[in-house]
Amino acid sequence: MKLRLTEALKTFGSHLLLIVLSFISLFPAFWIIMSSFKTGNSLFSDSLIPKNFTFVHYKELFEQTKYLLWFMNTLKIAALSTLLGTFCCC
Amino acid sequence: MRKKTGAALLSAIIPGLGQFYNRQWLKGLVFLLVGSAGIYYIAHDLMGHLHGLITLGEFPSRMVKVGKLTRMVEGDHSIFMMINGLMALLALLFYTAFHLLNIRDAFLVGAARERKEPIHSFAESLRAMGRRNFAYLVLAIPFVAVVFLTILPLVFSVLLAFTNYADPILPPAHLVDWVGFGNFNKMLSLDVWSSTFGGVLTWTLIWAVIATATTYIGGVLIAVLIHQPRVRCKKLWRTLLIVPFAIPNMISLLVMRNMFNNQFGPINSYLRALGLEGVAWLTNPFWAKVTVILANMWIGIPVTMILAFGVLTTIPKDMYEAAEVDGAGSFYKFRMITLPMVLFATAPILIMQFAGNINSFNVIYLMTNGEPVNPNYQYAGHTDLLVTWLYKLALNQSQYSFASVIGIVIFLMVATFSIWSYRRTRSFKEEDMIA
Repeated sequence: MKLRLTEALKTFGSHLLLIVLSFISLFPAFWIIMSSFKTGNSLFSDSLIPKNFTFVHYKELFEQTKYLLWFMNTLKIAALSTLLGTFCCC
Repeated sequence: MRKKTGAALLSAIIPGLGQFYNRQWLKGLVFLLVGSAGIYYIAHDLMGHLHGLITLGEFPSRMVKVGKLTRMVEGDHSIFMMINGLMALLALLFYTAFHLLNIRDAFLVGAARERKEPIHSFAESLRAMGRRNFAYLVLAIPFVAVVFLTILPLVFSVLLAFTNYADPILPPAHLVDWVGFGNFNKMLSLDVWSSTFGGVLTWTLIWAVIATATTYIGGVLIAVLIHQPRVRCKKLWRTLLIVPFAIPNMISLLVMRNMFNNQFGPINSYLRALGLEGVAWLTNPFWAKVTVILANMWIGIPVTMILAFGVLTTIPKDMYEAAEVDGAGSFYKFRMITLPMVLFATAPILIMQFAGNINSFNVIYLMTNGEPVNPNYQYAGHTDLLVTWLYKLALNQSQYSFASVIGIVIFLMVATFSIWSYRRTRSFKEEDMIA
């Protein structure tokens, strides 16, 4: 009986720890995502949830820059250098 | 005179002559052409560049009277002269190699003639070269590229440490000069430099040890935590904890900088909401160091975690079962089975991470930029590592020679440490423990 209690406690403790760790690891990521919906150009702000929700930054990204081209370029370089690096230098 | 000595001597005087003596006409002609082109080029061009490498320029920018007008005349640009000189030096080395090979060839063919062996025709020589020295032939082009594109810049940046190329002595207005070990001397004995150097070096080493230890231990522990049989939804936890790895460092560090802000940062406002006094995360020298280590843990732990996962899945289950039969508790199992296996598989990576942390530019530069400023330091702050100090010296203060000295120090440190410890790891000594 006592053994099962400690076992349950350990399971509970492990999960609690994992929840806390996940929170720490996700919080800045969540902050970044929220920043993208905020008005203004700064990453710096004092609240997590934006006061005025906006998609204008996404619109600007796709309309005013060649983002898709940049993304494809990144992808090409990453894929090629991985391939070449693996097969040429072993 | 014996044929091989004669041929070698003739080739030493003029390339190709020994080959003519050996009656290899076409080969001799090729050698003669290459050799005379080389010697002409050396005499005409390279000597001037080599002279420039030694003197680093003789005339600074100056006003010259032309008729009634005085005009500004560009002086020698010491840094360009240095690069040109280095290229000339390498070209000279290549030519020397060719000349020696030409002498060797004449000598060998001469020896063959003494033994009354038939000498090769030009076509036969070419074929023999393709057969015997094919590897060298193919490697020649990459080798030349490596010499000029990798070794030359390295040598150049090392040589800068031995000049006085630092603000205000900047070409073309001033001439740069060789100063031998002067910069190293200043770094160690001149008070402003040596106190900064000592302080920054100490913090760099402390940082490298703590940063490596925290990320490594944290990563392994989290991996073990998730790997426990009692934990549900392993894939979910793994995914959640890997997220920091997927965000570009630059963005996450800038956000962290905002979060740790003393006045407006969310962390301090949450602490205040709890009734605690906020911490001066970025402005207090001690807490700034703690902050960069925390930020580094957030970024670095996922990497070790992924690696540790990979190793944990390769540990056979029956080892643990056998340990349980023997009555081992979970700590003992971790200590005697998990840890040695993980350490064995990741030791080289641990060393690489330590070396990488010595040069961890991103975290420091983007998180604190070396601040808070230390008034006793020369162009450095409390959290500056050697690399970020180097960056500031070279790009903000134009102290190139001192930056280069630091670069050499970092290189020596990282290289000796890596070689020493890599040779000591068990995965180097017993390459086949797991396999």
